[in-house]
Amino acid sequence: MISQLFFSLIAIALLALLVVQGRRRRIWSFLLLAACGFLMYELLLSFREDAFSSFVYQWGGFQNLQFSLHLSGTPEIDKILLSLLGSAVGLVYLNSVYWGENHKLTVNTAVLLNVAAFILLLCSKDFVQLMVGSSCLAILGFYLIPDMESKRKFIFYGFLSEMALFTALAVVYEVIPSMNLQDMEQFSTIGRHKDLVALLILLCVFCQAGMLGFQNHILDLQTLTFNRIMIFCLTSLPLSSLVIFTKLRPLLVASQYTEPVLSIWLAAAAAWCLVAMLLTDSLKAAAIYLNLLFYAFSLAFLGVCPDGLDRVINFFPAALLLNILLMMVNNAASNELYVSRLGGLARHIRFTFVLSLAGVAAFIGSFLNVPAVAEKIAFIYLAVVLTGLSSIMSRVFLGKANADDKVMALLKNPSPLYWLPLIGVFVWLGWEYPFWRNKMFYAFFGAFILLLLIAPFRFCGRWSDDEDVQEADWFNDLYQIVILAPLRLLGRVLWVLVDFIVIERSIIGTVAQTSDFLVSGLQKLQGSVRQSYLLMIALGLAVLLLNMGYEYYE
Amino acid sequence: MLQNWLFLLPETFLLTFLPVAALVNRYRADKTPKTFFTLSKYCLIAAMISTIVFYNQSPLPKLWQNTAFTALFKIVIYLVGLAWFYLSSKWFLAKNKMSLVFYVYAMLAVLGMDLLLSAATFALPAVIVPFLCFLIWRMLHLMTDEEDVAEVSRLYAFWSCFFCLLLWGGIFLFWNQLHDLSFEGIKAFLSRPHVIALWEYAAVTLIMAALLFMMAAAPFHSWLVDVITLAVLPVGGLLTVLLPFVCLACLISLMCGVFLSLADFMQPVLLFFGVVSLIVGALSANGETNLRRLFAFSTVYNLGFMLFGIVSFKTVALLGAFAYTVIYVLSMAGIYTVFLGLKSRGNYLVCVDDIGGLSEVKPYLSAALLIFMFSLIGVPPFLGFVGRLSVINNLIVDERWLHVVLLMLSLLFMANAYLQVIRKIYFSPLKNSFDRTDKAIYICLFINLILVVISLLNPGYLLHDAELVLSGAF
Amino acid sequence: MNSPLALLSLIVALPLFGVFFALTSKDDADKPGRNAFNVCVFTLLANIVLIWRIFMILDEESGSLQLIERFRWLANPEINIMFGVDTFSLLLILAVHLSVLAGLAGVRRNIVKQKSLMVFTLLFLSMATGFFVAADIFSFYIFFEAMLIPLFMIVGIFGEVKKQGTVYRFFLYNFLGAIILFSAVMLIYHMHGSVTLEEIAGLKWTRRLDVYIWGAVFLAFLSRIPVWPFHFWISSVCAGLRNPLAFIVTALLPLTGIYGFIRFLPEPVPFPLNVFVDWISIIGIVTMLFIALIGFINKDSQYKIFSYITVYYILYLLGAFSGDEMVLLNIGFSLFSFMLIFSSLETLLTHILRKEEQEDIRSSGFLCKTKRLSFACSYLTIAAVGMPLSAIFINNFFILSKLLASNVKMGMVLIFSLVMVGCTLLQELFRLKTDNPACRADRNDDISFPVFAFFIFIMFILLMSFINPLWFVIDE
Repeated sequence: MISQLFFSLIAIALLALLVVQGRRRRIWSFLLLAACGFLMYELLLSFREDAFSSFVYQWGGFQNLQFSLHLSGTPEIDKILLSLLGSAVGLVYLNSVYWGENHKLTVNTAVLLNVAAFILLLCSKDFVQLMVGSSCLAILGFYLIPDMESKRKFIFYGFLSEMALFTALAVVYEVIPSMNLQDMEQFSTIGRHKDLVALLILLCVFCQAGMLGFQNHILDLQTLTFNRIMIFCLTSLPLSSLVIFTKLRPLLVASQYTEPVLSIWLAAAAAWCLVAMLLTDSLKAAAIYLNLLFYAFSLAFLGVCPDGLDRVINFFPAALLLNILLMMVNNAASNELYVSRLGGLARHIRFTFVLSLAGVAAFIGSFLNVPAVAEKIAFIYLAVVLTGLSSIMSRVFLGKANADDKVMALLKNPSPLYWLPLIGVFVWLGWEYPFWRNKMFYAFFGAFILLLLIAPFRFCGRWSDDEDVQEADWFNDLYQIVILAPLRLLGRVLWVLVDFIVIERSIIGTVAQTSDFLVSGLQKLQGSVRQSYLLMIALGLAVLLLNMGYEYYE
Repeated sequence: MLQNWLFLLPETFLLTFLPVAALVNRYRADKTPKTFFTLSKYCLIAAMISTIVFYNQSPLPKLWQNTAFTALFKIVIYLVGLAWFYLSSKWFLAKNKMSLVFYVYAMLAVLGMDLLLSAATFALPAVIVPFLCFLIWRMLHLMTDEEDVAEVSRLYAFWSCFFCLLLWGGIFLFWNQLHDLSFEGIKAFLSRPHVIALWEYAAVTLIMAALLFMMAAAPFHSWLVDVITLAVLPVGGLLTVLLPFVCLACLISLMCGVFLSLADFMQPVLLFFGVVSLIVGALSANGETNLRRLFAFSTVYNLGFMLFGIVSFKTVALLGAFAYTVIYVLSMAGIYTVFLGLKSRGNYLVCVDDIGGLSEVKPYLSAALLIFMFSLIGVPPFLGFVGRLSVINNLIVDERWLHVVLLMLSLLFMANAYLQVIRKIYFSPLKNSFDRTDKAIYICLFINLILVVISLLNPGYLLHDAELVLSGAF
Repeated sequence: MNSPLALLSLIVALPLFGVFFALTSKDDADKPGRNAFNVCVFTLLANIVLIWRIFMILDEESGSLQLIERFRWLANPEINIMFGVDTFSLLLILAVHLSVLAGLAGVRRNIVKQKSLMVFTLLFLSMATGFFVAADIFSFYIFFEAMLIPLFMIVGIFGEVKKQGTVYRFFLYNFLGAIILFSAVMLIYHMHGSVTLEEIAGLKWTRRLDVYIWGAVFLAFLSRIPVWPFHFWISSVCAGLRNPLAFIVTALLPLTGIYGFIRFLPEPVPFPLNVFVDWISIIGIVTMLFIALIGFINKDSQYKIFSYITVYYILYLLGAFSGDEMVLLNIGFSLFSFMLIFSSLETLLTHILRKEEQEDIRSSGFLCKTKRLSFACSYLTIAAVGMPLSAIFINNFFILSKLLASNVKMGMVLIFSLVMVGCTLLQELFRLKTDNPACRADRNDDISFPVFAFFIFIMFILLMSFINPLWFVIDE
């Protein structure tokens, strides 16, 4: 079924991209949605029937180096794909109805291709397929971003992450001359440069997931529409980080530094995201920080639950939910992005407010049903998210009304096209995770409501108009100062000093001057004057005589 | 007796040119520069045929002896001479000047070279070498301004007389002691086991000095460079192409035929002259803006290469040097043929700057010049590579590593000099307008290139028969 | 396996026949040089078909030279011209042909001295092909030196290099390397006669001779590769070249050095030359870093491509030193894709630069208005940096793996250099793609459809090479 799913997704996507032209793109978009739904249904059926297909194709290589394309299903893989496909169906639906998306068909195609690339990554059993899957996600993500500056940052980070992964696997390959991921278990016993490999894999994962220090390319996604932000964050490159983290876990555990680095970094990333969420004025930025927080949580979760990838993917609908909530607010307020220009909306769009609270409740409920070993992490995550979210929601719904008259006049609740499916999601989440039975739910939800009402962080709103804070790109500036500027300076110095002074002026100049000196010297000796003739002939005769004398006296 | 007269045919034919040319000049009304070429052509062809037929027959064996070795070199001289005479006639036609004097001198020069190659006694070189010097001196004055050549003429006259005296001195020493000037006699005398006296060293030294002066091996090269620069193009070509070839043949003949027992004595001298020729030729060519001067220094450089080739006096080494020399002759003949095509407003161009952008209007001339220059450097796949290979292979066999290094380094400098010309022709913008090139020049170039290609594809044609001859000769 | 059909001689000789036809082709008044151009393209295509045919006859599993052809040339010294191929050399020949074809796409509208350019290009192609099919030391040396002449003429006449001095210093410098190799070849010949390339790695001499011969061989090949300080000559020429074909032909020169190392490297490398090899590796890595940094700051797009080429060539050089059979095979496959990529990129970028100069169009944002060019540049750049769009991705993995295993610190510097040149190329791509109102380019400045189709074909080859480097070989 997996292989059929994979090829079906590609076929549908290519058909949509290459064949469909003209005006009926919305209709085709819905047809795509239907196709996705059908595929998901087929997958569900085969999952229930325990029909796990195996597909292996020897696709490349030469002589004794062969690579295979594996698209084989297992219960875990099928489960993961079901969850992801469900999220993908939701995203395709959202794209199809979202008024802000002008290229519905193209974006939906990108979703399908992302899922196909994810399948490639998920089913990988060797390095090559793993790297290819990850690269495909990076390349597809590139095409989702319309803004050139954002594309640039994205591709640089993507490239950096691919190179880190590439390098780590190259080091491993020479020690364990096998490309099979199953053989990575041996690395902890016989591997060399374990710390380096672990650090490189963590670098790859952090770049892809947008963790602290490597988040610029994801933050730049603020130029995208909400739907594209969701697609990117939940089906594109960051998703790849989770799979890589899981698949290459044996390499990570071989190093003693993995755990401390992971803990510190993720904690720092979470703290950073929280602070940023409290300070940011943009709803899109807030959505992005929420997604980054989600990935920090996911990585931490996978750190303690090695086989928890299916659980993490199951959390995707919940993560999507938060994005949708913020999108709904933006939608309701006539596309007003800035929190400081909203406020007091609860009275005017009560339904949206209630929907948001229900969404938060469903979100909390989703994260309470975690294994005991991950409970602490889940609770910390919930605490951080709820703190940040409460700050934004209190300023939007409960705070002082700062929206202008036009926005206030056009405030409206979302159409049924949005809230009906959303309610369906709430119901499903409630059914999947019966959170109302859990005491912690009430504790968290109660705390959220409290924070919403008290709004202890409302003072952060004073920096809403401060461009230095809002437009700050401290990490970018740090890279410029610490890395790029010294590199540029070094490059210039090397070019001037080595190429120009040492080689051109010194070496070449010396050789050229020496040969010019010899040539001009000889020219002077050979002028058509008697002295030069005399000199030359005397020299020759002298040699002849010397030779004669030497031979004779010998 | 009659057959002795027959054996004299080659020389006779060459001499016949003189009275016939005189008669034609006196009595023929509609003579052109080509007329005398036609006469010289028949004489040369006849001489060549008779040389081939009587290649090992000698009319006066005590004076000169014809062998396969001498025949080989003479045939090359006749063929090259024929081609050059033909091309020279074009020069005279273009200049609208009478060519009688040139052809007289040239034919006499060929005769002199002919006899010098076959000489069996030092009496002959004693006469011919001064005669050749005289001819060169006269040719220098041919159709040139007296003021321009006065200084060089005086210098050349002085020094050629000086070296002729040295030659006579050396010959006299042999005569004084042996009363025998024949090569066989002197060879037998020198080869016998004995302690070599000072006079023997002196005699050989004096003779070799004269020969090296004739060859224009550096540091005795100045006259050749100045003469070629100032003389008219036909004379310059003749001297550049034929003179080194003949002198090398004489050197080989003397060293391997007469002075073989003193080869070790002469080796350091030849090496010294070879080294200096390489250095002087390569370095001096770099500073030149006059084409003829540049290629004159190139001649000096190539002479150095040839000297390195023969210095061990083994058959294999001689074969290598011979191959190199023939390739040199072909290449230089080709270059001078191209020079005959470099005309602008009736004037033959001599300055490197004047031929800027030649490739735009004369692509085939430029290509030919390119091929010949790269051939002289010895870059594969051109024929010169075979020559370079032969010489260097022999040096390596003799384990003369320093000489190999020197050859390689000098090659770089020489290549740089040629690159200046190539740069002008191909990389510079067009400077002058060029006159239409005579078809004869293209024909000669084509034949030259065909020979080059055939020799390249099957060097056996060039080397195999020559190897047999040289092996047989020594 | 001996060849009954002299196919190898044919692929060497065919461009020479092409020269003859190009020289004798008629010049149209309105399109001068067009016929010569067509002759050149046709000759190339014919040769490619022959190469493809040879691939089908070749046994890919065999590591030795096949289809041996031997011609007696000189009797004394005894020198034969010997040809033979294996998969590695044949791939490189094919890559050279395709690269030159890409370059021709960039000069198709050239009207100044087009005939001369085609003649010299065919000559270069013949010499380069001869170089790769050479099976003994003399044949190898002859073509090693012979290719310098057409290269020099192409660069000098058509390169539009501002400083003429750099051009003939470039020639002299390479000529010096060729002369050094000549001395080594003569020595080898003196000791062992005319040996084949397969035998050469196993030859043994005294220690002194080992030092001299292998030292000379190393120096000669190193002179072709832009390792410091030998990089200066090639960089000063490449940076000034505005003709894509001239650039491509010049950039193929380091390939001859690498190929030479692969064929000649002794097993094991005798002492003290193994120390020499270690030093070359260190200098190579430093050069990579240094060139990568300069390429990063340099605004000239030609220099950026040059820095990319240099870094990759040195990577292959370091891989060649490993002596591992699998690594060498990977180098061959990777080189194939690498050559296609850089030659195509160069042609496309020169198209933009030419538009910039001739029509005063700013290059920043050029690709916004030219879709075909944008697609082609994007694909090629992404493939160039090592994404899985060509064989470079897989093959470089194996090469880097080996290098990291031998010395992880040097390997990390190497990786850093690769990242730097990747960033350099991406930077350039984005500069061209970032919308700039001052850029007046429009659809008419895009590449024509036939040229685009050709580059699509190249991209197809690259993609297929990722799946199977020998995908085009059909077993008989």
